[in-house]
Amino acid sequence: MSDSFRIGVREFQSRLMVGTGKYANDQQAIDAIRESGADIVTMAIRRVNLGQNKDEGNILELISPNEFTILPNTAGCYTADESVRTCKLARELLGGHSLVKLEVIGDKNTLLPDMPETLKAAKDLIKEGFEVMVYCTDDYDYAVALEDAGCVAVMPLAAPIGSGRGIENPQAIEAIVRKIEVPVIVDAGIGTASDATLAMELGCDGVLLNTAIAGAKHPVLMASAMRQAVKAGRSAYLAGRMPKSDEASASSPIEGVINS
Amino acid sequence: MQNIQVRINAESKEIPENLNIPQLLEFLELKDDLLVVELNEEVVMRADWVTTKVGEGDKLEIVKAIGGG
Repeated sequence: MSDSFRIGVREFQSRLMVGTGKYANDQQAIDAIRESGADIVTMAIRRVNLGQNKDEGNILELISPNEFTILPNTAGCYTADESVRTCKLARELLGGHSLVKLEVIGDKNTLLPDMPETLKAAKDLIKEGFEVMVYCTDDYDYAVALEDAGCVAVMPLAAPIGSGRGIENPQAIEAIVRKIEVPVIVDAGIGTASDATLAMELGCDGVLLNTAIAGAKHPVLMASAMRQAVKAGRSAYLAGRMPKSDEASASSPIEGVINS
Repeated sequence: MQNIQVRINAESKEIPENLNIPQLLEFLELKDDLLVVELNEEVVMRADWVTTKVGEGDKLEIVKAIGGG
């Protein structure tokens, strides 16, 4: 059964999106990313090293826009202006591609998003013609404001970036899922497969993660686990879980038990 | 030929005057694909690389994609 979903004008099969950072080497990165089954992969935009070797590889040769939808991020940006500048560079780099992951960080230690500045950046980017997938806190009112501003996906964090703590406030994520009509994607803080499954069981449309795979002892195996976890969680959500009950209820009939 | 002072990726650099973008990248020994150039905070579209000359005091950024989340 096809269970594709739409972000802006594009349709995707995989609900798992992965980052390309923190891998031990290029081969491990591409092996894990292929194993994850992801259609969308994120990248950062950075200055070239002026002393660099002319033959030094470029990540876009390894992880090609012909194979994946590249999602450039604004990681490291602290203001709306910096994020707009970064996205314009990314758009030119990727031949006019307008889908971006907006993240405006408020503090270098917590890496939590600066929500007022994120909302301003989202509005500026949308005015410039970008399709904005926005990294945000799990704050309900901001999620609504970001959708109203025209973001194509709202991406609340599970927990701080790189923390691997899993979904710290499932009720907040669930409230956002119930309200928001564009895809809701949990982004950041996923630690292991069950975290990704929970995100999908809560009704999220997808999961975006990086360190959970790149930081695992065996990244390729974890990529496989994440692919299955997202599928399992999605199926469980669609299947509709049984109601919880305070009482036990025997699965086997009581009648006909052999007793003395 | 005269040299001029510019800033590239926040570093001061002395480069020959009158270079266009492909010539600048060649001077810097950078491969000219898979990167983007910004001149004084405006992206230089690739179609305009040949006609865009770098002048005294210009501020350039040369960036590429790298691994990230």
